[in-house]
Amino acid sequence: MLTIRTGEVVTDLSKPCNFFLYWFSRESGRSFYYFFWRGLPTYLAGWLIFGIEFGASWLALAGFLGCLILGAMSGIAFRVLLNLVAFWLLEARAVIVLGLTTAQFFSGNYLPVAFFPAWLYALASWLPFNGMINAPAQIFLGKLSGGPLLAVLALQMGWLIVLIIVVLLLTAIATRRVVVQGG
Amino acid sequence: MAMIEATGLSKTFRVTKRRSGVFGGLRSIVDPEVRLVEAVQALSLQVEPGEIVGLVGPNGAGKSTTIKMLTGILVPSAGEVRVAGFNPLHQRRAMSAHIGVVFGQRTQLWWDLPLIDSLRLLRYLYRVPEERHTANLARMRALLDLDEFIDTPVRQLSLGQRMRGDLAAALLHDPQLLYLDEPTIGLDVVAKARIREFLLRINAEQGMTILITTHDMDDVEALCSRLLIIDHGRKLYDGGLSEIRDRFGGERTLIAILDPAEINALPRNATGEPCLMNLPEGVRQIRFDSPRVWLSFGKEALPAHELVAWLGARHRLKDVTFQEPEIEDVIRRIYEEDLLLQEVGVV
Amino acid sequence: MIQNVLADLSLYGRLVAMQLRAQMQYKMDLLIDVMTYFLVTALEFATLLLYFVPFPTLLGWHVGEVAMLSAVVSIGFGLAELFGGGIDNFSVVIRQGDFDRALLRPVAALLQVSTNEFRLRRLGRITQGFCAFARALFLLRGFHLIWTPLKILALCLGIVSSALIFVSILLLGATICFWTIETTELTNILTYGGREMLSYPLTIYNQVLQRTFLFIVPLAFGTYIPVCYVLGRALPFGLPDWLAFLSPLIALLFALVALVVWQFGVRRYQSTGS
Repeated sequence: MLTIRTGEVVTDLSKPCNFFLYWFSRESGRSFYYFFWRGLPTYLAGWLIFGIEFGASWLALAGFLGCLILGAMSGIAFRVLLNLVAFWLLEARAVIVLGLTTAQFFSGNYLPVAFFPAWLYALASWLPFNGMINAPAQIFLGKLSGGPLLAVLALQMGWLIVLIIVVLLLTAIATRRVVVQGG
Repeated sequence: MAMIEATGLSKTFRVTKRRSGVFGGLRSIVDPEVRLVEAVQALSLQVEPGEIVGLVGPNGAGKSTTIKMLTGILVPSAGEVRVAGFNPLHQRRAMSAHIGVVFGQRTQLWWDLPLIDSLRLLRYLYRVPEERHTANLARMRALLDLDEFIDTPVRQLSLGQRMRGDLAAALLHDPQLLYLDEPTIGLDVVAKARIREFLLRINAEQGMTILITTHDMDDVEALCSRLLIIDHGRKLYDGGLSEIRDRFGGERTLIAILDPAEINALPRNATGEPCLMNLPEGVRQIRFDSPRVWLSFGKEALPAHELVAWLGARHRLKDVTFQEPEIEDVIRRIYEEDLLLQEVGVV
Repeated sequence: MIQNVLADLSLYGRLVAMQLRAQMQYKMDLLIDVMTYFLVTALEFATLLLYFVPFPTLLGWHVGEVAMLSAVVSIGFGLAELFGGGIDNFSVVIRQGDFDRALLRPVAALLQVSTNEFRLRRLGRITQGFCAFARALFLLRGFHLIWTPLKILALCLGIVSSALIFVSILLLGATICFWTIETTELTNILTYGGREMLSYPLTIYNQVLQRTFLFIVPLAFGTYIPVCYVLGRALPFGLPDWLAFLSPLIALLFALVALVVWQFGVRRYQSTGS
């Protein structure tokens, strides 16, 4: 979030709604890019080397994509949130690094969530990070379907809304702060 | 022995053109469109010790490429070079102990450290004996007035200060040859004068050979005994300043802003443009854009102040300014006159 | 000849000392950075330990043994991150056109590049590595592990060797910048991927991967093999266990290859000037 450091954020924040949309669309573009250049090749490699295939139904595919999109959007919102929080604190990098690491841990990037001890698993299933990697993976493998799948999607949607609201709120406060203090 | 001896120096770049379109990027990898760009063509030059030579030309003329080949950063496609007796390519590290380089736009100093730290560190980088380094450092501090900002981190220095720091850094190891790439770019008038004075001094006192690339004609006039004009990779002119001044730089332009009532009173010429009548010998009107009139006059015509006086006596002037011939104009004229150059020294 | 090497080393030391001084000016920031990095790397280690909750052993390896392996890899990698900061950052130098400056000085370009940045915060990972090692020893307390001077030597040599190999990988990645401006994902695969993969016993991977990390990118020589030696485990492919002491030699060979490729890259830069 270099714009905050250099003060360019003043121009960015002068239109709070556009600011968020701008960041959102930019990050979405980036996510899409990585999906193609990291995600697909990795999947292809996995398909070739380990023989991973998509085993479930078309409905599951829909659920998979839906969860993936919700998760991606939550991820973007979370990152924007981290950067906004860093705006207030002096040590920006630490906040962002810790936040991202926590997200990675609870989304199953380090260790599959299924291997978590019971108490950690319960915690993870309530956090927004679950829907970013773990839940889509479970749907893909056919382990999550029907009622529980809908519950997970609903929870993820709920988290997405909450995150966006918090981001918009913080953006508004930040805008006021910047305008009042003159950057 | 000449300080710089370059014969038939050439550099051709292979530029891959990115194909346009959605899949242009992919197509470029598989089947790239290659274009050959001849940045420098058969350039020969010779610089004797103690000379200050100016290297001028429009942007993209091949100046930086030439300098890079002389300093060993770039491999020539053809030709031979010897700098201070070294082959810049094969003896690059040995040669670099004998040369100093200052880039106008990039610094050689460490960005986050105070200037003095960079200057001290360079002693070890160049393996300069302690007493010599201390003496040089003291001398640079005095000549360039570094003390006021010597403890400031380089990133906080103004452009003029940083340039002085870079000059000091380039000279601490007693090089015999100094390359300057646009050293006065972006500097204010005072800073420019200071730098020029410094360069003249080290040239006079130490016999420092200086090769300076510049767009600034004032730099050239103040410093250079010789001028090399490059365009499209070819050497167009290699010789003294006075010659070029007489041949091309002789015509200056005076821009007079006339009083509006005055303009209406002027007679019109064939094209209906107001024009000044009975101009002195060698003075001609080249342009009119109310309320301004452009007059071109050669050195043989009359001194500038006399022309102003002549104008003021006959017309009501509001203001006058002078315009020096641009280097681009000089080069354009050289093209127009189809000038064939005499190679100086090595063929 | 020796004089030149000594002069270069002392220059390296001076350049690094200069970097350290600049960074130490912001003590608070540095401390927070180090602590953050410690926490992040500790989380990675915690993940490894968590794995052993549902699974008691990994192909016959006990949690303490794997913890020791992970600790050794962490320390080696941390050292590489610490000393290789400038090399890792090379893509920025090239992109900003600052490499020319290195060619204009009578000192090896690589020496200058490698001292451009010295990331002190990587101490966080090294500290974590040592803590992890302590944890590993605690977990192994029921194993009655006998420590001999030879074992300690093998470990130390291994750590230094793996650091050198990691730095060489970074150097190869930096050399690619002469062609592509950006370090490709390939370097990340070998550094981060290598670190992750070698934190677990080599034998859990298929033959191709095992051979890769032994004979192509010989990271296993600095990590897996010395740890096997310490734990008294047999080596894969029936390799003799005195190979554990050969790690520095292998690391030097690999580094030499990386150096040659680097020189090739510098020459290419001089030909095309981009």
